[in-house]
Amino acid sequence: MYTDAIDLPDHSRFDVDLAIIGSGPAGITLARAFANRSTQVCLIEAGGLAYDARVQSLYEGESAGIPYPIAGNRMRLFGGSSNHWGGFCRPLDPIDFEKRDWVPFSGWPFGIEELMPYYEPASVLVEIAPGRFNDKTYWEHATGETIPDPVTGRMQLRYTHFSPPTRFGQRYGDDLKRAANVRVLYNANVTNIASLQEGRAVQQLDIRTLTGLSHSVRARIYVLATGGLENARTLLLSNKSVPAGLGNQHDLVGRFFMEHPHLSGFGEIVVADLRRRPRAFTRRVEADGRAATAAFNPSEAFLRERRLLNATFLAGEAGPYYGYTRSDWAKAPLHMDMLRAARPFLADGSGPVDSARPDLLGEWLGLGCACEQVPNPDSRVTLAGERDLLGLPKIRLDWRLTEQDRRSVVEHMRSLAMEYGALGIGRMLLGVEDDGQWPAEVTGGAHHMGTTRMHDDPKQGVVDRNCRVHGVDNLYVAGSSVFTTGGAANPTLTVVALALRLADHLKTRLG
Amino acid sequence: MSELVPVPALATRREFLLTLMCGPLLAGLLGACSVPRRSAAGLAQESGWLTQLFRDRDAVARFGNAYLQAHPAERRADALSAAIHEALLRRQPGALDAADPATAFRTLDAVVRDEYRRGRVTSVDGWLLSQTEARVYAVVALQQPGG
Repeated sequence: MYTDAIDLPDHSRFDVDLAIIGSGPAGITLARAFANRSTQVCLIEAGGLAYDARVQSLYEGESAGIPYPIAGNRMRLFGGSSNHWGGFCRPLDPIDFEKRDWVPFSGWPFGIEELMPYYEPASVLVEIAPGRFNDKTYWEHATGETIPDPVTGRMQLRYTHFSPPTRFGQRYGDDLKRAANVRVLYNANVTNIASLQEGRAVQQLDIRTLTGLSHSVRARIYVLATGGLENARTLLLSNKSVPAGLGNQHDLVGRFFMEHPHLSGFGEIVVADLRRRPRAFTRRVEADGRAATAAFNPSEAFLRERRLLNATFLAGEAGPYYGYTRSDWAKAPLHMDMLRAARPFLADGSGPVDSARPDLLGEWLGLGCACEQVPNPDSRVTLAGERDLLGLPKIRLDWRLTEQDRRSVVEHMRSLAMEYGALGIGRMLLGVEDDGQWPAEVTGGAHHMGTTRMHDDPKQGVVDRNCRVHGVDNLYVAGSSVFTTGGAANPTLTVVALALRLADHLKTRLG
Repeated sequence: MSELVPVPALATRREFLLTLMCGPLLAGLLGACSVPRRSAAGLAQESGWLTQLFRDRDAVARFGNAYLQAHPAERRADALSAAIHEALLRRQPGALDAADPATAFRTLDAVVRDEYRRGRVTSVDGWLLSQTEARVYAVVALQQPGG
């Protein structure tokens, strides 16, 4: 059932078995896993069922490090940030879970084998199943094209899948509405996780509405699933029993904020003979109702040899060049000259590269990259001095990158250029020099990771391997804030897989 | 094309290459002094065939000049041609025996791809190019009027 917190009498209280804070992909996945069971569930959403600018403003905050759109890349309504999700899906790579001696603070408490049973059902939920992430043969058969294997030893191909994208609120809302044991409580802002025994157990959730009502929810088990930024903020705000914030006895909550640094304009590739470039390299190709594109990722062997971080590169067709093309864009003549110069290496014979378009010189590909950054305790979420509409301190984000991150990105860009050259497909113009400077434009991918990181040692992580907050018996965290390292895959699929795993754990615990 | 390239006066092509390679300029440039024995005929005695590969030599020269600007010590067409030919002969002994540029180009293309594969690359005006490819562009640039 759906309940609007604004319509409730003031000081209403719900007593349930499981309280889930946040109705994004993690929260809805969890709630849905308990639907139509004996467990009483309350799924609490701060926003409403539709977008509201005033509600959304509660996400505003202060960006102290690399400029970051703190409110703009989250959504505070039912379904959470899945409402503007791009739909990119790929599992993390096995190496992402490892403790790598060249990556400070790396090493999840478990390997990818722990998550493998959950990736397939997660793929069903995000509507891409069955995932064919590494299956070149499948995609060759599906597209009718030969997809060349990378030859430098530096790169490998992985297939990023595209969810429709699944808007979790719209897609699964009716399932929750029909479930007699699930209450969706919306317009309900959790302002404090009230704890007992100096923070060793949660007693209740204090809830307020923007209309001034106060409610509460009590449960046997609580799961915080409000996203990688708000999870940390909520714990820091819950400081009545523990001044440093709940679960923050070792000053770890909010630290290790990680993104996937996205560099715009870091390079372009020109391709003369489009037949040498499989469509999967630059387009979404479809088969059996799913869409995917080939992504270049560094090989594990190369990552180990060069002690680099992970990365993902995608290419897209940006536009053709003809012999008569005139462009105001400064790079266009450079691209066209390279197409003319490298023509013998990039196309067969001396005739047109496309008989239907005799003046075609080729095309240029725009590139996107999402790169791993090292976990960095100084890259962090704290509370700002300014307060929001509820009178609570806003979030302050200080996103930082390191020289190790930059060096890794640049090396992978070179690898991509080498791969396209070695395959005889194209030539790459690198817009980022290896000059020790980050490019002026570094953005994130709205991937908020690491702020309640997972580690078996309470002095190195906020949650344990089961996603339970260290030292708090009945509080769990779901979402990408538990990622120990971020890898280079878009996080939503792993967020959903982790939520399914957490659901299994909680089913055992709740009986 | 060949009139722009000094024809070696040495007795054999092999001697010519060895002389160049063992000189201080090319010792580091070429990296090896082993040259397969080859016949006197074919493309090895000229570098003009490289230029003939390209229709738009102005575009090629743009990158060739950029390479030469970054590597002024290589501003010698004969030395560059020798380096390119040596790379081809290392890959395919006899690659230059035939008088057919298309045959030689196949070896050149293989050399270029292999250099990308092995990381023998250089940055030219922001482009990451194979070492031999960049030298081919440089040869063309030097053979352009005013080059």
